[in-house]
Amino acid sequence: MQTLIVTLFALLSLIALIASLLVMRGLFPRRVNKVRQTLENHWKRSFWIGLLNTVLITLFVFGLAGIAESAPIFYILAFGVYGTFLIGLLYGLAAFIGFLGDRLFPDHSPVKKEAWAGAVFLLASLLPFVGWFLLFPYGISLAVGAVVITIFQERKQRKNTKNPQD
Amino acid sequence: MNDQNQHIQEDQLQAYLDGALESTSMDDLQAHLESCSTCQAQLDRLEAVMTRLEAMPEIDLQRDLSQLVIEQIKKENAISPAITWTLVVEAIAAGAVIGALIPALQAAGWLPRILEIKLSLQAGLNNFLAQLSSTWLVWWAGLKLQISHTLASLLPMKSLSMGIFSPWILVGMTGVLIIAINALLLGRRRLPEHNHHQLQT
Repeated sequence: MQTLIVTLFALLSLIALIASLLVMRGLFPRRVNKVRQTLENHWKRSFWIGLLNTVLITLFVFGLAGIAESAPIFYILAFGVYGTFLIGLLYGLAAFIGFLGDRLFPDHSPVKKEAWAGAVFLLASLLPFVGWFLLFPYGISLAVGAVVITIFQERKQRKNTKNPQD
Repeated sequence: MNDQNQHIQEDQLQAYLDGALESTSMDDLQAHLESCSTCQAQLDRLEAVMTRLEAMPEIDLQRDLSQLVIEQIKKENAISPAITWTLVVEAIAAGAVIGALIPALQAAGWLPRILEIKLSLQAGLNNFLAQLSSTWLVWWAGLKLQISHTLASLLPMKSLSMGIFSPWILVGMTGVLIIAINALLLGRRRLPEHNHHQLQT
């Protein structure tokens, strides 16, 4: 019974994740499009920046959680940092499945192609070892990297707009 | 693209003008442009079109169409009364069904079974969360041990004990690394911006 519940819970989580990615797309189309543009133009760089940031932020949060064992106030900081990271990841993944959907299902409607692409990506990520340790981290790294680059680009553009002579 | 016989596609030239290419692609493209007069001419043409488009004066419309467009959109998006009434009826029907269902379930002796399923679901979820947190604790202890071992083997201090590892070190080190790596990867190298004016100047 419990195995069934855990399986059901995992399946529901997958559906919920795809739905949340579609919601991100619906709520913040401009931002998601920008991240997607970055993903298309800086594929390699997105991967490396994303990989390093994901690993380092995870270690950073583990460190904070370790400190929180003796000073529980640090749990708030740890949750804050990881929460922000996860929000960024959602943006990135929404852009990533949009990109994937365009490649895999070009004839479908926008919502359909993203829903299918999300399902395909998450199912592929469930493949033992290859999916768990290669495909899923690859997707996550690309998503995070594209978000980081987009944020940096936006800041740079804002700075340039403020000081056009620079 | 790098091949002399193969010319650059127009969308790539457009991306070049927009500054939306990776720096490596940008270098390849510039190298090709230097050696290929056809592509250079095509780029000049595109640039000229851009410049002319930007130089064109804005034309004032004799009639303001915005209000008409907004009205039309409002009309198209408006929910018809039929749909509104259907929703109201559906909501009332759903309430009635639920209202009738609970006593029916009670009478049929289903309510205790539903409660049982609910309790079992809760137990399953609690078990799952407990397993998750215990896995994390084991993983964290392992990580601490690994880092202590690595530090002890790397640092020349013989007096370094296994218990010296502190999460503060991990936080400090990763914090510095995050800033340094991002500054290195994003700060120094030029990131293309979507603004072709800068390229033209």
